[in-house]
Amino acid sequence: MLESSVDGCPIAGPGLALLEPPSGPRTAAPAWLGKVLGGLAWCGRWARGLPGLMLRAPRLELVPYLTFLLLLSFAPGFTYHYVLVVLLCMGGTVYRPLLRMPVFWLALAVVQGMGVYLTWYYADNHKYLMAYWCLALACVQAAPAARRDAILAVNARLLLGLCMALATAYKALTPSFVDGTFFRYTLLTDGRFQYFSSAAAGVPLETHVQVRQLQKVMAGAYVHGVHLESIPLPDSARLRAVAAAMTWWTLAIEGALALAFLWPGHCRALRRVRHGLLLLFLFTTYAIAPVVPFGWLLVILGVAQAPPSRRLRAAYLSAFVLILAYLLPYQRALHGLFFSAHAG
Amino acid sequence: MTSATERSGSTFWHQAAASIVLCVVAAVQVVRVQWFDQSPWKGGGFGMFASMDAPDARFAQAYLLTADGEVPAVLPRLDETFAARTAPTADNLDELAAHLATCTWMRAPNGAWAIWLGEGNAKPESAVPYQAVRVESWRSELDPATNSLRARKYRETTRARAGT
Repeated sequence: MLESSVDGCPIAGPGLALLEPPSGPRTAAPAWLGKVLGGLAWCGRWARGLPGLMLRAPRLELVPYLTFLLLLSFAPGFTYHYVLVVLLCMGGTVYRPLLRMPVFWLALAVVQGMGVYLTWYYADNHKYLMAYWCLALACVQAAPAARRDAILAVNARLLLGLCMALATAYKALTPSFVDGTFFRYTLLTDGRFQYFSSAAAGVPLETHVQVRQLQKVMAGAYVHGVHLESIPLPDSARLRAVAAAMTWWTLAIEGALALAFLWPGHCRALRRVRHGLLLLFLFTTYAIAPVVPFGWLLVILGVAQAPPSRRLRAAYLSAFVLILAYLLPYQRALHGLFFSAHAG
Repeated sequence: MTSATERSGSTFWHQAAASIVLCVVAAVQVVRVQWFDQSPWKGGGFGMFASMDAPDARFAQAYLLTADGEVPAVLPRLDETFAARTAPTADNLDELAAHLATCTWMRAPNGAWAIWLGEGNAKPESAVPYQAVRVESWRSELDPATNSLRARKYRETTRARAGT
């Protein structure tokens, strides 16, 4: 499906026409050149038709390729795990029947599981979720062909709902999160939040840098004979208000996602709520804290259970691109444009 | 021909196997967080961005114990170092100290601290003649009373140099 047609027309045809041997006297160079041009023309048509293909492709065919993109960019484990993942993804791309083999996805899940297991001390939670997702795809391909699409959607819904439920439970049961202390601390110490913290909570960038430098001194200056035991943190009513707002927003959106995706039922209204909440989460959360692999994985889980609607597919694919774009230093640019100018 | 029960049983596993694995790993992570000092941020329990007790808020410090006193040592980026930071159990800390005690250390040019030279018996002129290694596990915690981050020593262990 993915490379079979562009806008309903066979895309290999025109390319092959260019590859036909020219009539008249032959020389070696034009034939060689013709093949290259034919190949380029084929690639150009394929690239132009790609967005349309991605919007129209059945989710069972699109999801594996999005998963490959995720795995190739952010596979867990040591270098040899990454090499194995790359080989498997390349194999799946070149030889498409592999995509329908449960053992292929099981192999990907095992390699990633091993990668996560051997690096448990720094493997992030989305690395685990990537391994579970490959296991889910193995289960999908092991199911009867007629049921695969439905099983894909159920797996995506359960994984997304469970990870949000666990995230919400951890936050709700941690007193220092619920009382706003966590975000007050994070707004002062996490570099990813420094521009947001400066703009929203009025914490100067210099304060941010200073606190992080002092944290480094606290952890590592013992070799210089320096033992810093305490770092005073700035505080303000505005900082507390922003931290409180972030706390309740996070609890509300993650809790709502858990509830919506774990709630049994398939009615149209429930589906709308699910996808609306997920898109809201994707577009807002990663604008402030861009964690690309987790964001991409949530997009894939959304695509895997989305009904065949081009608008919804377009929204998810836009989120896929936007989450990556959030890595650009746009926060720094906006901060420089508005806040430095005001300060000046 | 498969029966309806067999078909529904297999459908259950197709739909739920990955989610069951997720739940089992998360349950193990909760146990490790509660009883084995693991940071809630790691381990597949989805406790990230919930607690200040992230691995970055934990740090280890090492000292070589010599006849002339203790020499602070720059910790190398070993797997054991990361493990002792994410889950500073007595076992993990001991494992790190045991590894460091098999290594050769050299004095930094200013003589104030020791630099890791790796495992083995290479003994350069400036190797530190140490008898044991002490590893300390620390955490920085927010003190609400003073609104400040405070370093608190959590655990320490000492291992004699290997072969002494």
